[in-house]
Amino acid sequence: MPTLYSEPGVINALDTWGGLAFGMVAGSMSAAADNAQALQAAINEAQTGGQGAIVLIPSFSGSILSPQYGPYYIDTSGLTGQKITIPSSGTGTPLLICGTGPGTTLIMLTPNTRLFEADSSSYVTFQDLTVVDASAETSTTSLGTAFYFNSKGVGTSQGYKLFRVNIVDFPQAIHVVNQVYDLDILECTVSYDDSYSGVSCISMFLSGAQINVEQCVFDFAGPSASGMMAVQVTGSSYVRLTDSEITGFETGIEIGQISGAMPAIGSRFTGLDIECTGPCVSMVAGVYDASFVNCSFQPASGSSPTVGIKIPSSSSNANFDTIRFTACTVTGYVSHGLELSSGQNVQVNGGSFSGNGTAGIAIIGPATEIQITGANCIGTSNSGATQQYGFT
Amino acid sequence: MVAGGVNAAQNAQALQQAIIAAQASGEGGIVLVPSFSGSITAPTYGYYAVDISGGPITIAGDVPLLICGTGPGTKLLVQSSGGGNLFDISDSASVTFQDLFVEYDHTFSVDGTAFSFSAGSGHSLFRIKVLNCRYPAAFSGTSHVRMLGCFFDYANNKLASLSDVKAVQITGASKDTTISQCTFSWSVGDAASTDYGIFIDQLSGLKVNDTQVAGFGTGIQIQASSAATTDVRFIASRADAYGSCVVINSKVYDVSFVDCHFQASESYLGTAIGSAGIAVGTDPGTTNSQIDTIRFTSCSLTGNAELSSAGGKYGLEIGAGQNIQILGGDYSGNGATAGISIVGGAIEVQIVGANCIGLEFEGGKDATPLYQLYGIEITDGADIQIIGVNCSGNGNPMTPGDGIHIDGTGAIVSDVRIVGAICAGPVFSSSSIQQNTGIYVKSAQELVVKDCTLIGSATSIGYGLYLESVSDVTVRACDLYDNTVGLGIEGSAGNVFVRDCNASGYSSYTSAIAVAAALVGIEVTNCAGYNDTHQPLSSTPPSGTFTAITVANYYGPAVFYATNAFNVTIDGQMTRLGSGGFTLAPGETAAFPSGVTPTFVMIGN
Repeated sequence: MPTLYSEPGVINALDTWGGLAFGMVAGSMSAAADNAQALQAAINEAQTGGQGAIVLIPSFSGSILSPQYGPYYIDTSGLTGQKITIPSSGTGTPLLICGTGPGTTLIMLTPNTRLFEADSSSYVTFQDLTVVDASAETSTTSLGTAFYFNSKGVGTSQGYKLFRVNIVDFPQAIHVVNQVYDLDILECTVSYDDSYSGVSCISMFLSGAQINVEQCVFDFAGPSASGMMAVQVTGSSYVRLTDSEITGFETGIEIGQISGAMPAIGSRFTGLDIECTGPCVSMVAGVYDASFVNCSFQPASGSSPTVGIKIPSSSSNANFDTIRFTACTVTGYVSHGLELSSGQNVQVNGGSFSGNGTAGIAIIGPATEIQITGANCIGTSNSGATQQYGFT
Repeated sequence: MVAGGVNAAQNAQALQQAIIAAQASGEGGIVLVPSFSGSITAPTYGYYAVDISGGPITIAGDVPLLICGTGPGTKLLVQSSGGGNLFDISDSASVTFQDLFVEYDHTFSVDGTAFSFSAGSGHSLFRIKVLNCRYPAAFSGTSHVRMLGCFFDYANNKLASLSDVKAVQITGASKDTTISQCTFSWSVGDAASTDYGIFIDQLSGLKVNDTQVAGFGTGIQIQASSAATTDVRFIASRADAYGSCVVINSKVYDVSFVDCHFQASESYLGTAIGSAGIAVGTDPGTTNSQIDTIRFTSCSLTGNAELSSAGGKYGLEIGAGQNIQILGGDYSGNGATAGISIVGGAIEVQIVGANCIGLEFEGGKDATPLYQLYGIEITDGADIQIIGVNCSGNGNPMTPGDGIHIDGTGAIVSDVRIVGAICAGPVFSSSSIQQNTGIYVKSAQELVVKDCTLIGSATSIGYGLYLESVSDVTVRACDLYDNTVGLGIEGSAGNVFVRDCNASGYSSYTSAIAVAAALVGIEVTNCAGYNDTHQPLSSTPPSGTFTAITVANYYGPAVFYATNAFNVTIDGQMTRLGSGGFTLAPGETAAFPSGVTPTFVMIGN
């Protein structure tokens, strides 16, 4: 078994594993299928002993004296399920799958599947990688996922991490389902370039518990943001999104009990800067104890959305219960900055709600137990936009 | 080092020597602990057994080091019969531990500290997991230390009887510590109050972001056994506990919680060890000046829902302290007592925009609605502002509740300003909850109640506002309708001024505002439902000196009309008038000459 680059604890994906005759090769599209198999074999090898290891994907292949540059093309069509999987080994599968800097790039060629799936695993970290979905950029059917985190039992999978990972043009960049517990996403970027015309998507879907997303960027630069959503939170408890930026999507954050999932409980959004062509925050029934602190919401450049934050009408006010906006800024909307059509126990503490066409804060349905304390609803915003009413 | 659970003593020595070698150049280096040993073609899998009975692995000297595993599965299993510290880092700089899993083998001992830092600066713990160690991380006298993405867990049932557990302890005048995206978890049964998630004793500068503390007896303890603890920030973090989620004791200054959530641990209804959800200054002997400048902004606290028969306590309990702010946030479903309480003499307390509705939000931790008896309770405190709060819907199925309950019997409650509060009885169509009183005040001085909605107290003794044995009280522009009694004033109340309120809709003015007989210094003016009833207060001519109070127990201005009175006296001055209309402001007196029985009628005004 030639193992030129590996050492104890470090499984280098350039080496050959699992009886294959090849490792990963950079810069060769014809090696795409082999690369997928080689990476899967390296991951399997790293799990062999139960203690895990680093699966290292160098930013170039070859040797240091004869390097082979370029991205790693990936074709997963020959793998089981057409995806690279990190299977459970029973008590957890600790892995660190990392590149040698953000230049380590994987270009996914296989449409409509998942690049990585961690299924009932634990303590798997992806670090210093760039992943690109080349199959989705212009496809009207491909719904590719970069990272799919699953838990076959509620809360049985935990400790997943994404650290300094760039995800480009994946319709579903990050997909977390089935009560995955304790997931951290730090310093990651999810972006869609200006030629993206793929399917409408949710770039990050979060259904789990104790999920932290911090210092991340979600950027949509495509020609049409219609149907594009940055973050969807459902069936979750205590998801925290902090110090992050969302720009260019139609919807920034959607939160609630969606498609039969459990409600969204205890979500925290702190220090966000969101600019969208539609609502920055849209809620559906099943939101409890949600809090937004020190966030900024405004339309994306060149767009004229009607409402910044929307709590829609519902069969019961109890479907939106205990929601707080503290020191937030909502400005530049055609109709309402913050619009409440239902809900109960809603607080607006401080903040600025100016320059929103009709009203800064609008209560247009039978919402109850609403407290607005210390908010600034002066008509003209610092950009010169005006509004007819402070409150309506 | 050799993996596979062998060579425990040698592994400790080997790791120590690797560290010494990395420091030898003076420039530092990476000390790599692979997740398995042997060679890549002949690997030896398994954990690294480490025996530290010969002493901890030490790091000293200002040489930067990165000590890391190859992924989170690189495991060191401490197997020492006497326990002990695994790493002792003293007087060094920039030592980082990364991607390591440390477990203390409970069949040997869980005592000791996995990572013990004393003095030095710039240390980091990054993606470190520690299992079943009594003290996973301790910082004493350090500066600029960071923890990111760490997970400390107590998961073996044999640890259940442990006490004096501290997942993270920061002591000894440590400075500028940051903890982010970490989880500290106790999951082995009923924790003791001395089992702490985060223990803080004398430091300056701590930030805790996006971190979870779960299941401990006390989630977060902040104190200063000497000197002081200052500048502590918790942001978007969560604590659940078997006892108190947060305890703040003496000599603690400038602490802020923003966007945090606190609740009883999942398997409990809270307060199982008899403490509040958050306890500020409740340690006996603490003085107000020893706890100064504490803020809770947009936080939620719920689930301390055991009723009084089970020893339930408050949500947020403020004993001693000063300059305490509660800005926004939700304090609901906290059982036998109150969402927020001031019970130990605290001063300069501001509660602004908080939601203290009795029922916890319906997406709570279980399907059973959680109640609390009072939204806010004050039994001992002064200089308190309560602005724009919502205290509706308090009470439990067995006992009607109060929106705000103030009782200074045996203590001092003074200078309380309640402005813009809503205490509106049952909410959310909850038929099992009744509000007894919107605001209940007993034995308090210098009180203002202004612009409040005090409605929906429908019990047989339900009051919108109840005042007993109070003095120097101003009630202004409040809604007092839709109660059994709008305003009740009893006891030895004095200097109570009620202005511009709406007490309409009652069957009589004595139901709108009911005052115990013969109280003085009480004025009720311009109140709908009381001053505008246009009903005769009395048509019986009184004898001797009289007021509207003595004639009809009426405390507003009144007009009486009399004929054949010969010489009416007003405030001791003879008018020489025997008939006509005479206006008595509250407190003014009138009298007819002795032996005269005039025709008489008095009407409230």
